[in-house]
Order: sequence, then C-alpha cells, then structure tokens
Amino acid sequence: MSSLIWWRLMVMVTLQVLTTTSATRTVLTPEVNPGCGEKETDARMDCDEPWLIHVTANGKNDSIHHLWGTHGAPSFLVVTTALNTTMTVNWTELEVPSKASVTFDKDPVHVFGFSIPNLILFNDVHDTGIFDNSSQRYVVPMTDFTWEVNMVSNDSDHEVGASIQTKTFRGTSLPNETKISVQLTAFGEDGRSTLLPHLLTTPDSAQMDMILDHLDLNLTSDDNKLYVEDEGPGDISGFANARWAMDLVIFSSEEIIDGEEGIQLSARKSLDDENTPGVFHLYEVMTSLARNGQQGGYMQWRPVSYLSSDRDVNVATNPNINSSFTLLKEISQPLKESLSYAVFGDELVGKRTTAKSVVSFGLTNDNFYLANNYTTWTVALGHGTPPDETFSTLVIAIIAVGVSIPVLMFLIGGTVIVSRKCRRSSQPLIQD
Amino acid sequence: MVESISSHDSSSVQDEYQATPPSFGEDTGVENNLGQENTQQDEVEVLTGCGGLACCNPNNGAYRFIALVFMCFLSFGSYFCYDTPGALQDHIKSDMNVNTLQFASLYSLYSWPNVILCFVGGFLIDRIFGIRLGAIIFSSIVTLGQFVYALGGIINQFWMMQVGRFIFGIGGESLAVAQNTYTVSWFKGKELNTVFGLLLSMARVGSTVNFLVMVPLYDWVGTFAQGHKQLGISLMIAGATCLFSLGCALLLGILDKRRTKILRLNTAETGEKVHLSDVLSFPLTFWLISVICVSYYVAIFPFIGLAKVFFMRKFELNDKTSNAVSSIVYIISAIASPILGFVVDRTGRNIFWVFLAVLVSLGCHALLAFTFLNPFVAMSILGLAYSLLASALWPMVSLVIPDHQLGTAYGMMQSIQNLGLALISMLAGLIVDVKGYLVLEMFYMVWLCIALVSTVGIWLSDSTKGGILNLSVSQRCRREEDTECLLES
Repeated sequence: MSSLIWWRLMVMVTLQVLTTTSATRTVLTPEVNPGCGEKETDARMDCDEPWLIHVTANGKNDSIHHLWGTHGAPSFLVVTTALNTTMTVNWTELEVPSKASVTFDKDPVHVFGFSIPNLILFNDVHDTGIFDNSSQRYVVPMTDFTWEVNMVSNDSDHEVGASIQTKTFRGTSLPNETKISVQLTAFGEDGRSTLLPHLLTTPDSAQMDMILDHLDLNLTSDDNKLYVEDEGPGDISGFANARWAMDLVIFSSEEIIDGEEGIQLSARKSLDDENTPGVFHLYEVMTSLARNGQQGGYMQWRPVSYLSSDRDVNVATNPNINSSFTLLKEISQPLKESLSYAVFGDELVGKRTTAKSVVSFGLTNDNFYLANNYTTWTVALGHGTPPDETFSTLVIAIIAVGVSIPVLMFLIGGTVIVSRKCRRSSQPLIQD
Repeated sequence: MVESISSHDSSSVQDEYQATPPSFGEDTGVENNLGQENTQQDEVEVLTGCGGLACCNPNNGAYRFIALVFMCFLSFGSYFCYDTPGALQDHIKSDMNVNTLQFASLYSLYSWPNVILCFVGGFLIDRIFGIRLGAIIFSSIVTLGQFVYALGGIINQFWMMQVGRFIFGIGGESLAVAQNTYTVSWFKGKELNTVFGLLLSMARVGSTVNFLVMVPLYDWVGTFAQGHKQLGISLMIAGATCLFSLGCALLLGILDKRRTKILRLNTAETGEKVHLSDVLSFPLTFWLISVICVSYYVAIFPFIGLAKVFFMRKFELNDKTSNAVSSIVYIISAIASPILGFVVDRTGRNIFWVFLAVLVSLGCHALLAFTFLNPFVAMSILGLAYSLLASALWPMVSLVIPDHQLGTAYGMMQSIQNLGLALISMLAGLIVDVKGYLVLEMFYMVWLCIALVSTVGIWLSDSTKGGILNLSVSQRCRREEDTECLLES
C-alpha cells in the first residue's frame, strides 16, 4: 500500500522536474502599433490607441505572436508561425476594415483567440448570477469605448506585458475611477502567474486579466453628458439587481468540419487550491486539435472573480460561462473593427471554427455589482494543450511525511514488541 | 467548549477506574455532606406547602429529576452559541466584510481567557461566589457576551463582535465547571455516571441544534433585515438560548438552596485545588498527553469552525447541508461516546485506542484532502474517532498523576489546550486565506502526525516504567491486586 503511494509520489516529482525543464521561449518587448502612421495615408490615425500590441516569443523551432488590440471588440490572439516570420499590418485597411489587414509572410501554423464584442448590463431579478436571454438588459457595444496604453513592461526574457484601460465612453472622458482595465502578459516558460488566481503558464501562453472598475454607467439616457449614474446609489441605469456580463467570441484557424465538435468547454475539479485559495474548479476551452492532445488552442481559467483589489477569495463572485457554444453567424460592427477580423477577414464566419457565448459575473447573495463596484476575470490563453495542475513541493513533502510517520511508528512499535518477545522467550525464568 | 466536554468524559470514565477526578475529590465538603445526608434526612424540617408532593420534596427522586432538567439546560445556551460563528461562517465573512483570519479570531478569542480561567474557575466558585451565585454570574457573563457579539453585528462593528466572544469565553468554561459541581453534589453516589453521560450528550445536542437551526433562522431574519443587521438579529435571537440557560441557573439556585436548607447540607464545592508547584513533578507521560491534547483537538474543533465554507466550496454542498455535515461529528459522538467509553473501560489498553483514534482521524483528513468523496463519510468516521480518543485519553491522566494533584493536572492540560487552540485557530484562518484548504488539511495532518508520534512516545516511555497505560483491565487489576476489580471485569 505505502510503496504504491511512494511510487506515485516519485512519478509526480519526476513529472514536475520534467515539465519545469521543458523548452522555453525568449519573449521580446511588446511593440505598440508597429508601423502605425508611417505611411502618409494613415498619418491622421490615432497611433496612441492600442490598435495592435505585438509580442514575439521565439522558441527553437517556431515563433508565437501574441496580438492584443482593443479597437472595436477587444481581441486577444495567439498566432503560431515558423521561425522568423514577419508580420505586416496594412494600417489603412485596419482602420476601415474590409478584409484581413494583418498578414504574415509565411502562413501561420495555428491561430487561436477570443474577442469581447459587447458588454451587457442585465437586471438579475432572481439573483442567480446567470445571464439568460429573458433578462432585462442594455447591450453596450465595445465600440462605445476608446482605450489607451498605460504601461508596457519587460520584466524578463520570459515575461513581458502591457496594461491598457478605457479612456472615453461614447465620446466623453470617463471619470478617474470608472474604467475597464486589462493587464496582458505573455510568458516564455512554464510556471504560474504572480497575479491571483495564479493561473498556470506555458512558454506558448498569455494571460488576460480584466477589471470592471466602478463601471456604473448610465445607459438609459442618449444624452452623452449623463453617462455616469449620480442618482440613487442602489441601482445602475434603473436596474436594482444590476450585473455585468459580456459577449464572448472564441475563434481558431481550424476549419469547420461537418459533424465534428468545434470549440468546447469543459469544467474539471482539482484537489489543489493552494495557488487559488478556496477554488477547486478549473474551466477549459479547447479546440478540437487541443482536445486530441495536438497543437490546438486553449483558454483556461479558475472560476473566481475577485471583488476587491486585494483579491481575497472571501470577497469574490463567479464568472459564469454559458456552456452551449454556437457558431458565429454574422460579423457585428465591433467584431468587424476588431483585431480578430484583421487577422481572419471574412473567413471568421462559415470557414473557421468559432464559438459564441456569454460570460456573466455573479453569484446568489453577492449583493450585485454595485456592492463592490469591482469585478475581475482572469483567463490564460495559449497554443498547444492546457497545462495540468500538479501538487506543489510543499504538499508532496507533507504527504510524504504523513505517509511515512505512521509507517515509521508501526515499524518502531513492531521492533520493540518483537525484541521484547525475544528477550522474554530467551529469559523465561526472569518473568513473574 | 472542548475542555469541559472532555472533563465530563474523564469524570464519567475515571469513576470506573476508581481514580478520583478533581470534581469530586475525597477531601471535599461534598463527600462529607453526602455522608451526613443519610443520617440526617430522617429528622428534616416539617415540609410545608408543596413539600408534601413528591416533586417538591428534596428527598424524592422526582425533585432530583426536575433539577436534572435544569442542569442539562444550564449550559445549553453556551453550547448552542459557541458554534454560531461556524454555522454562519460565510455570512459573517460577507456581511461583516472580514477574511478567514479575522473570522477565526472569534474562536481564538473564546480560548484566550480560558488559558488562565481553567486554573481559577474552581477557586472562584468555591471561595468567592459559591456554586449558586457562581452559576448565575457565569450564565450572565455568557449571556452578556452573546449579546455584545450580536450587537457588534447589528451596528456593523466587527471589533465589538470580537469583544463579545472574549466575554463569552470568560463565562463559558467556568459555567461548565459550575455544571459539573452541581452534578456531583446532587448525584454523587446515585446516578452520577449516567447523569454525566446525559450532560455530555446534551452538550452535543446543543452544538448540533445550533448547526441545524442557524441557517433557517438567518434566512427567516432575511425577510425583514439584510446584511450585517440580518446577521446581528439572528445572533441576538440565538442569544435567547443563553437567557433560557440563565433562567435555569436561577431556578436551579432556588432548588439547590431549598435542598441545602431542608437536608442541612453544606454548600457544594468543586474541590479543585490547584498547586502550580506540583507541575514540576509531573512525569514525561503527562506532558506527552498534553501534546496529544493540543495536537489532536486542533484537528477537530478549529476544523469544525472552518469546515462549512470548505464543504461549500470543495464539495459544492449548500448552506444547510454543509452545516448538517459539520454537526455530524457532534451527533455521532453524542451516541458513540457512552458506548466507546464503556468499551475502553472494559478493555483497558488506552494507548492502543488513542493510537487507533489518531490514525483513523488522519485517514479522515486524508479523505477530505485527496478525494471528492461526500464529506459525510469522513466526518462520520471522524466523529467516532473523536469519541474514542476522548474516552481513552483523559482517563490516562488519572493513571499517571497522583489523586491529590489531579486538579492541577487537569487545569494545566486545559490551559495548554486553550493556548494551543487560540493560537492554532488563528493560524488555520490565515492558511485558508493565503494557501487554501488543501494546505489547511495538510496542516491538520501534520498535527495529527505529531499526535501519533506522541502516542508512540507515551507507549515507549510508559513501557520502560512497567507500562500501566496499555494494560488490559484484568492485567491492571492483577497488578493492583484488587480482587473486587477483577470480579467486576
């Protein structure tokens, strides 16, 4: 029994050593809008807006290009190409989209990513936290926002990032505290993000962390001046039980094959909540290649949305994703203006596997969005298959102690008893 | 609540070992008074009024029975309210906006005053208040503590809830001592073991009822109040059980006064005599038992306090089911304690039973940590293991410590236990916040391993001295050359 457990431990430790020594990538400093405004025709473009942030991660055999952009629908892509593939941006096309404007000189091996075309404010009358189509709602196309780059960071060869946030809503500046901020990070090695919920990273992955901060927009009035609610503190835009949700479009370069499942969601339980205290579930979205253990695309997240900046699980709610994915049928305006259209063009509908869903933030009795005015969602996205959770060295060490101490105690006890019996049988006259 | 439960266990079981626990030492007034009882009861005062009725005549069993009912409910309020934080854990955290560490302080603040009070509680009752006034004062303190705690919820001041729990702790353990004293005084030489068993089961019933009713109560209060007010009002209503117990203390005081007067008894005393200098002469075995006492109970009581949210998050149980699972430990031990107590009494071999109980508990925590098996299973087995440990561990003290030092020994053990629980509750809360529940379970398993090593330590150290602790009852009797004992077994 115990030897079996020992074997399993040995295997786990070995696996951990193996995974930590697997290939790494060198991640280059993010380029913001490379080539923007260079041509005379795009000279009037606002090149401060994060149209396209480009990170190249070079490995031994291939390169990963992380493309992040918030114009139109904020979009986050992982593009896998051969080494030394050059990306070209046709800025004129990107601004007035009519076809793919971001191209690579060698066709990408794989593309995976997701876009957020709309925010949805809904009235959760039954306090379930889950958005359904019968809910009262306001749909806010993401084209209503403009964004700015806050910071680009270059922490190491294996981790670079950019943080961006909203600047205006429907043409007017947002007050300081009201913002959607997005922290993007590209990784070049296996490990964990330092930011709670400490998602797993691979050399082929990136992470998007989104915060809906003081987002009490007034959507009832068309008057642009009155966008921030300053009446009763109890509701947003007249919704007493206001919660935020967002449309989510996931796409990959894998082509639609009739009768085959495309992009799928799976929820797993994990025993280990050491890195994300109090959260025992793991959600994964995989393309069909990734599900078959090949080089597809994946998203992975822990179902927890923190409601305060100190990210305490005691003040948290759930990101609820609608698991019935449908194929994208039409390209809405926010999508058309987005980076996803810039990469795929019209192939986004009909040819490539796509999945449309909704993520809503809430949980029964969490007192709705306004109680904390703050909601996070953190997602890892990457190329390949989603990384597996493993027990930390600490946990393994304690398991080893926990197994060996009882065994040791039995051994000590047994030895003492046996030695006593021997003594007793060899000196029978001394007893009694 | 831990220690008082345990001293019940010890008292009931020790009696069978013919060792004298602190609560009814032979040098106390109780013994003498009871001796006089038989000779004096014939020449009692003329019973007037209802005195002619059986239930009003202190000589009659019915009178004792009525007092027994009040004795049972004397500490019902404090047992009920002790685990209110555990039963409403998620609501306290969200309504008061506190993290698990702050939440856990509600438990450790209960333990802090008892690091000292377990030495002086008996003294206060014997020398200062007397049993009747003592019981009433401690009941009042418990009630006051609960109401301050509830008020802290109503006005949304968490520090006030903490103060309330501290006050509650001052009264809670001493009230249990008062309850023991009453019991010994009224039932010594009569149905004492049965009554101790009954009181123990009542204590568990109090905790169980708490886990089962607090959530429905909280939901009902939710129909007219929300947030911290909902919490505060629920706790205020829970405080009614303390008022009820205070009422029992008053009535019991009247009954006891009448009984003392009519039967011409001296006031009952705990008889606990604490001499701290004795501590120096205690053997290694005693200290190892104290280590088990801390390291084992840590894996039970602070765990039950934190278990609700763990079950909700990991096993996806709802509010009410989680509490039901937490309370299963109490229900099982209410039923199993008397049975296992009997088994240990009959078989002896206490060290073996302690070792088994710790090992099984380790297994239960491993089940909770490494499987998604319904926690009902693990918690039920844990309830059995816990009852077994309590039945086997506490009597060992009376086997290694001379009778006249038992008061000090139990005081010392309870003090160490309270200190351990106070510190470790906080640490457990911190672990949940920073490292999560898997590491919390690991933490408990490490403590259980320490308990396991200590058990083997006791066995080794005891067997070098002849090994009285792990003898079967017949062997023990033979050694003591006690024929009566042999005949009984």
